[in-house]
Amino acid sequence: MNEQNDKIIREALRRREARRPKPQPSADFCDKVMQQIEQPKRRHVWLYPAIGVAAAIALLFSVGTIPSNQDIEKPNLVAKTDTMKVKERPVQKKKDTEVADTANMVKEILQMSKPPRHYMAKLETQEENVPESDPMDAYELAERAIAEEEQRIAMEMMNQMNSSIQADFQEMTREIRQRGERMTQQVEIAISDDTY
Amino acid sequence: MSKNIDTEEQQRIGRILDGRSEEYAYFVRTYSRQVLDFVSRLINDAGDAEELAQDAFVRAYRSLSQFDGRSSWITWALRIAYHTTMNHLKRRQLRWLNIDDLPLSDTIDDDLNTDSEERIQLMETAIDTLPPNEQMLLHLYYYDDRPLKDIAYIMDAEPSVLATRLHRIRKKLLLIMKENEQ
Repeated sequence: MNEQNDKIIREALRRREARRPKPQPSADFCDKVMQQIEQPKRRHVWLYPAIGVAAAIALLFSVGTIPSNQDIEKPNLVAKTDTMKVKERPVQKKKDTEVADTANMVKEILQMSKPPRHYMAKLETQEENVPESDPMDAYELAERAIAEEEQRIAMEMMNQMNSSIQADFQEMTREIRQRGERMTQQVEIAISDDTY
Repeated sequence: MSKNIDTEEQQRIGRILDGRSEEYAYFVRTYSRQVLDFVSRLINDAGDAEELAQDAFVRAYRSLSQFDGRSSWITWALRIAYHTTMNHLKRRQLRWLNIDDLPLSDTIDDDLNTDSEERIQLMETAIDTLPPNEQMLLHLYYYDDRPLKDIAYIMDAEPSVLATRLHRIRKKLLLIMKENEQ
């Protein structure tokens, strides 16, 4: 039974094939294929750098190096150049969590690293002659220094992005973290040395 | 596989992979008719068939480095053409009767009460109702006389699975023929 059915299937297929018009490739079939083969090469010339730049911008926003317009604060150049004192700490509106975390960390370190009472008592006697040192100066300077360093690194990163995006990304992110940590340590040391 | 890649084609592939992409025109010119014919079995529209055949050649070029020479180049290209066309059909959401839903009754294998000529005509009509992938399986097995191992490579399935599928298709065809006969 099966053999007979197989014969019928074969014959039916043979007749269908005989009836079916045989398709002929168009005259430009080969040319079209070869054109499509060449196209991706040209497209990739700008595709990867474009992806790199877009990814770099996305990264900068994600780490908060580029704040939004409403968050931009005008630098207090007078306070920075003429005197290191700022009486009132400007209101912080930055959404950047990393900068906020760093500032909080510095605050905690300052609290923990307060000198002993006898030293503080000695210091209080000298306060009339010595200009008042506000720890808020150090906070702001630390934040600015970190932000400037991050921006500088980000710019370096953008320039180097085009060649190998993923590898550069990972390398630069690691470098940013390491430098950030080093900066934090340096700021901590500087604050404890200069202020107290 | 039925045959391995010949030396000349192997050398051409090596040169293409070295950057001489113009050498690929040889494969397009030599096999365009065969690939187009293969795709046309799966899809009726001539324009779509040509576009899909071209797409298959482009895909084959882009994945040429993955060609391992276990089959002939054309068998490998037909495998790509098959999946390219089936994906196209899936995107168009063509729905067909699932052969796995059919009962596997041995009584269906009985001869129909008709003479041979009428049975062949009924069979042709029944084959027309099959989805493209099942028609292709029948063609490759019964018309092209390709070994199941070859077909399994093209359709990306185990030979044993294809053997079962062929059995089910035969049952299905006989069911359809019986319905049409009544």
